[in-house]
Amino acid sequence: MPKLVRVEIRYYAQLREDLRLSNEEIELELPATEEDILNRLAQLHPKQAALFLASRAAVEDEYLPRGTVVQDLRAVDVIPPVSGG
Amino acid sequence: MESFFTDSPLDHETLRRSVEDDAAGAVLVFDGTVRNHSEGHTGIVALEYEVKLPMADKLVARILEEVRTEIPVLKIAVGHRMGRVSLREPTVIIAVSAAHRDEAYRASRKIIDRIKHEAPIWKREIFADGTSEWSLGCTACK
Repeated sequence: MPKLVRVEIRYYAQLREDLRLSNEEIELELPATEEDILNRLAQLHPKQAALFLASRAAVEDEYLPRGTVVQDLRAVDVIPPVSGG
Repeated sequence: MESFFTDSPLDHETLRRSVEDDAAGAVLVFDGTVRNHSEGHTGIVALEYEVKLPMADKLVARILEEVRTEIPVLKIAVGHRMGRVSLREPTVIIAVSAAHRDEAYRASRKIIDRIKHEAPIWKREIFADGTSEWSLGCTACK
């Protein structure tokens, strides 16, 4: 059964600076995939949509594998395109 | 030591020594350094790194573990900078020892490629006039 839950979203690097926001709480419909989560965030912040769609979502310090359906969720880290090395 | 992130300058010699091994026929040390230009930009004087810890630490440790299962190397040491790094200074050092050079080259290459693509690390380019911009990262420099 789909359910609406409150989830903490945390931002890093360029995304945090563009949004002027390090974290926020949003309502998210679960179950959801990484793609669902990023699409929802892109909808909420249309100016940063392209950056959200190029980002990855991580939960408890692990990237969400693409296509995996998440049933329960408290916090998501949004990882914009990385540039280490 | 295996892998670490630090705010302090990286020392090439220390990392090289940490992978020395009696069975090694090759010790390869790769320094990634700050250059004065990037895709579409010139006049870079420094880079500033943001690292999401402990996620980046765990991820790099896993990369090293996986590289070890694929390529027979003896020892690996990886140091990566956080914070501001000036022109010519190393931002990342990867030291690998192996019985033969081929394994050392392959492992070193695989480690830097995977760090660049996977680790939650971001850099900002700092220009001489004090302005700065987030790097487009490896999506732009392929």
